Amino acid sequence: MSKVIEERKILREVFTLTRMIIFNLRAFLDTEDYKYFRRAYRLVEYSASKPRYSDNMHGFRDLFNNMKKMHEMLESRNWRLTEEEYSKLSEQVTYTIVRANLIATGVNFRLKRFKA
Amino acid sequence: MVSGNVVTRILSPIISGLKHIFFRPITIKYPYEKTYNIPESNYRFDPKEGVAYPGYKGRHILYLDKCTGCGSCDRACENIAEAISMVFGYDVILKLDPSTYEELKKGGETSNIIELFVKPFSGELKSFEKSGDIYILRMNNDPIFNYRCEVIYENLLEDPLHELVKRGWASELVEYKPMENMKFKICRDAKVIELVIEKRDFGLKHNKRSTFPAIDYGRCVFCGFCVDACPFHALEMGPSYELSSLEREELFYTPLMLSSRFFETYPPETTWSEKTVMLFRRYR
Repeated sequence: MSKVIEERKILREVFTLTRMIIFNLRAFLDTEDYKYFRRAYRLVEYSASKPRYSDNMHGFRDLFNNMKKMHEMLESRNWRLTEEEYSKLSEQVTYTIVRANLIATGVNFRLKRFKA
Repeated sequence: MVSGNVVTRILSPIISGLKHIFFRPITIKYPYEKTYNIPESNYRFDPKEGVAYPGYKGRHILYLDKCTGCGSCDRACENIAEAISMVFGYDVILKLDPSTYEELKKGGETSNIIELFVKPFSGELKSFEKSGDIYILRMNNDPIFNYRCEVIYENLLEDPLHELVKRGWASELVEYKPMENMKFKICRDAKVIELVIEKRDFGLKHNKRSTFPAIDYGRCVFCGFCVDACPFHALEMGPSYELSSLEREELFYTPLMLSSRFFETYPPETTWSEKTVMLFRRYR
C-alpha cells in the first residue's frame, strides 16, 4: 500500500479515537456515571502508550495531563465527591471535551487538506 | 344603562371578529406558507461593479456553466468555517476478464463478490458493458463527488476488499496517483477482477480541471464571503433555509445538489382541503 494511504489510515484511527473520548466524556456529564469517565481515561492512556496516535494529536499532552489529574483526584477521594468537588470536576471535564474537540477538528482538517 | 353596556361588550368583539374575516391575514401558517424578507431575490455580488445585491442568505445556488473551478470560494471560506471544499467527480468501475465473466454468469462465489462491491452503491446489479475483451460494470450513474479518490476507497471500498482478503483472494494496489486514480487487482487462481476509481473529465471548456465547490452545511455560517469572492457570478445564495437533517453526511451538498433549483412544495402530510385553503389565502 502507498505511504499516503497508510498515513491516512492512522489519521482516521486517531480521529475515531478522539471522537470516542469525546463521546464518553459527554456521556459522563449526561449520566453522571463514572464508568464513562473510566472508559475515556482508558482510551487516553491507550493513545499515550501508542506514539503513532499521540504524535498525531496536537495538544495531546494537555488532554492527557487533564485526564490524569482528574483521575488521580477521583482515586484519592475513592470515587466519592462532595457537591462542590463534583461541580469543579464537571467544569474540568467540559474543558477537556473542548480540548479533545480541538484535536479532532485538527485531525479532520488534516485529512481534508492532505497533500501527497 | 347597564343592559346597554352589556350588549356593547358582547357585540363589539363579535363585530371585530366578523370584520377580520374579510381582511387578508397578517400571520402565516408555517410550514404551509413561508415568508421571505426580500421576495424572489438571491444574495449575489457583482465583481466588476464591486456591489453586493441584497437577498436572503440561505442555501447556495451554483451555476455549473459559469464555475471555472478557480477555488476562490474555498480560499475565502478557509479561515472562517472550512465548509467549502473543491471536489472532483469520480467513477468506480469493475473490470472482468472473459473467463471471470463466464463464472459470474453461472452464479456462485464470483457473483457474491460482485454483490459485495455493488452493495455500498446502488445495491442493484446492473448490466455489464463489453469493451474489447473486457467486461465493464459502472457502479455509479452520477459522479461521486469528493475531494480525493482515497476517501471513496476508505468510505466505500475498503470493507469489501478486506472481506475478499478474508475469503482468500489477493488484492494489490497496482496503480495509484494521489487525488487522481486508484487501480486494484483482485485475483484468485485464474480469476482476475480489476477495481478502478478514476477522475471523471466533464470536458468543459471553462473548467478544464473538472473541479467544483461542495459545501458542508454542518459547518457553513452563511456569511456569504464565498459569493463575494466568486469572480464569475457562479455562486449565489437563495431563500431556502430548511436544511436540517438527521445525518451529518446529508448536510454535505455536492455540486449537483447545489446546482438544483429550489422547489416550493407543500409538506407531504397536507390534505387537499388544506391545500385549497392555502391557495385561497395566497391569491386573495
